[in-house]
Amino acid sequence: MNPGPTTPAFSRRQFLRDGLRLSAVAGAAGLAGAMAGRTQAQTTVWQIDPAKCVRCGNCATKCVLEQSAVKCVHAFDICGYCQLCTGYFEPEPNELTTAAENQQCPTAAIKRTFVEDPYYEYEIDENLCIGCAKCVEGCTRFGNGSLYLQIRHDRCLNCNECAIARTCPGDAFRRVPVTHPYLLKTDTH
Amino acid sequence: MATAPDSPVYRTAVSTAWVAGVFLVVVAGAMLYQRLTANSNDPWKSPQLLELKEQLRASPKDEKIKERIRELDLKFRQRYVRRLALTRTGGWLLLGGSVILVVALATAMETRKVQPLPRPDPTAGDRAQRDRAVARRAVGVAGAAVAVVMVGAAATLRSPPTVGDRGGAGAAAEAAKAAVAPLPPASEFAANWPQFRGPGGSGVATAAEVPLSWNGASGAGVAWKTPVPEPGFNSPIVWGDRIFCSGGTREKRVVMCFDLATGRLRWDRVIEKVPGAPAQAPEISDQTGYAAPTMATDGVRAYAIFATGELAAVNFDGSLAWAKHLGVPKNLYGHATSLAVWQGRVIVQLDQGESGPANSRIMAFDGVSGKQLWEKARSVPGSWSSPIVIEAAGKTQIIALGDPLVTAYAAGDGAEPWRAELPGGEVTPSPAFVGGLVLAVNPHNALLALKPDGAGDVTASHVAWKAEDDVPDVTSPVGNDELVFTVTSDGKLLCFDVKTGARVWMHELKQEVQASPAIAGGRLYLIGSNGVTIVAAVAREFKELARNELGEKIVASPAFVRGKIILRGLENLYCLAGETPKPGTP
Repeated sequence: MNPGPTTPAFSRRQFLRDGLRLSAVAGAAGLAGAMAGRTQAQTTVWQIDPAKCVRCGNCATKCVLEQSAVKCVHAFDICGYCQLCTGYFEPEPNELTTAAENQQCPTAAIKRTFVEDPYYEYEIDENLCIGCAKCVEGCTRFGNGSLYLQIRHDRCLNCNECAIARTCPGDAFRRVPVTHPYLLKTDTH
Repeated sequence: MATAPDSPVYRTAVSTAWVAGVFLVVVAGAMLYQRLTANSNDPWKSPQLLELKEQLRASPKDEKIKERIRELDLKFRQRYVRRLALTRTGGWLLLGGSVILVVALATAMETRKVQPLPRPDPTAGDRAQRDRAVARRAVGVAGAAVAVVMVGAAATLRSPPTVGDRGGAGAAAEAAKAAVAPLPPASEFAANWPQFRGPGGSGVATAAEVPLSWNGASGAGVAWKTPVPEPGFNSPIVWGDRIFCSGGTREKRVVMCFDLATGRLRWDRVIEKVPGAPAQAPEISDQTGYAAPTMATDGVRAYAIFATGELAAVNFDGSLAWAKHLGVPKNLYGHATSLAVWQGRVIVQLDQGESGPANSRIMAFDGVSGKQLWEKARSVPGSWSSPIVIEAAGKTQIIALGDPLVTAYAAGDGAEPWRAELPGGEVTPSPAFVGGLVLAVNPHNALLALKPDGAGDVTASHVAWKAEDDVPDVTSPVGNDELVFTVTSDGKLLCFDVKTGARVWMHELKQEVQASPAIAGGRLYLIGSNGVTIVAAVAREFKELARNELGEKIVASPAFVRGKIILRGLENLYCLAGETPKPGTP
């Protein structure tokens, strides 16, 4: 006797529906995992410790960007507003004027403004600054260290392995929390 | 109807692809050229500008030079800004060109595509089966090969090679022998010159017969003279028939071993690829150089440290026992503190920072393995003084100077039995242990004689005497049980009574002195930077016994062993074995 067609316990339609559900759950879990990993990876960013920086000049040439993400920054509350700024002027400058032969900065990125006799204010133009640390060397060695280098995070790609950190002779590069991405100087060196 | 290759769409697509391809090559070539020439065009590296600035320093009133500098500066900066703009534009052009190329190629291929018309192939089934069989066999063979390689790798790579594994089985056997070799007895340390300023680091030689006179120009009294291949301001050390010294540049750091009898360079070992060392060595002031610290040896291995922070142990056959990187010392002029050894341990004083404490520390490493045994933080900035190990008050103590402290550490575990304050400035002279007193110098303050049996802060309780005038600035004191001698870098030689600290006499040497004085054969050896050594009597009045010219600048301190003096000039190593008066002869 032919028992006739029977309804299978697990239909093809149900199999497809369950498969779709499972795929959706797996996809959502994968996405959540990826997002979590990305969030984790971005909890820290690279930064230069000014106390360890040896002003070697690598920051200008080793960054993967055409123009380095490392820039000179100025701690105005430390600055002496010197007329003879050793960060701005060449050693033993010809004259204390803004002429090219007197300026330390190769790209004229430091703007010098008269305040009142004998004080001058110095401001960094980050579009011109290449992070060569010439001014930092002068200010740190002979001044009070108000010019120093920092990675600007509006430019930095935050590479997993920072190309400058790999070659930094002073081990000055370290990861800092993304909530406090700058290591700012508050006191003279 | 036109066939695909003849269709206007196909021809247009191919032409467009060609144009886009050529465009991409031109743009990419221009960007590549710009990238390759970028370094030479960097405004901050222009040798022309630097040279012009030098010229301006020589002729500060020369308006033409100033004009030229301004023109060049403007030109370089304009070129730099143009390059940045070109890079940005080039990137967009490459992207646009690539899109056009891809679209054109895709269109051409789509137009040319001809639908396949398969024909019946009666052998296709057999061929497919054959292919499958071959594929199965290939997978089997490849799997077996991978398994063999894995087993082989597991067997051979069980012990990863260390940095020093370069000398093959022989060197490995030598190194293993060195690792288990017992340390020589104390008498051998006294007979050799195992560290900066000899046994105990106080600049006193045990050798009874020491050359009195020599002359570099005539060669009289000079047993041999050998060029030192690598530069360094460190002093030679001697063990047995071997002389060790180090040299270094930014490119490489080297340990060298010379033959005491002939001066022949036995071997040199480049210290490289030390784990943790930066790819490019830091720039160090020429005044100090990369190899200012003097090496030390325990009679089994020779130890060296460089201004880059690389610490290395080299076996006597030239193979590397171990090497490690201690971090680049943040030292204003460059690290110059020499090593000390005690019972197979290497003592490293690593003071750093320009003002105030900055990770300064003193450490002891196991000579066999390089394992760090202890480390103590030091609340001092950078210094250039070298530690000594003394036996006093029933204990083995390491004496280390810094600003503002004279600190004693227990050699075994680094515990601090006592300290004394001696504030001042840049501490360069090393301590000495003379007549039961620790002599400590701070160039901007005083020469202190301290009793080494105190506990805690002994500043108020254990200062035997203090001298404040004409304190040596570079060289270290030397003395015997009766007298102490110091010399300033401008040549003021002072003699003190070791018990009372009273000044006995002062004499102007009238020559610059960078090398620390030494007492050998009962005489005082004072080596001038000009290469002139003045030999004086160790007595209560100044008496010059000999004056010997070598003809080469010398800043390193001498080594005395078995009737010979080893001197390192700026370029050559000398062995002096001239007239050696009998002991007791002035």
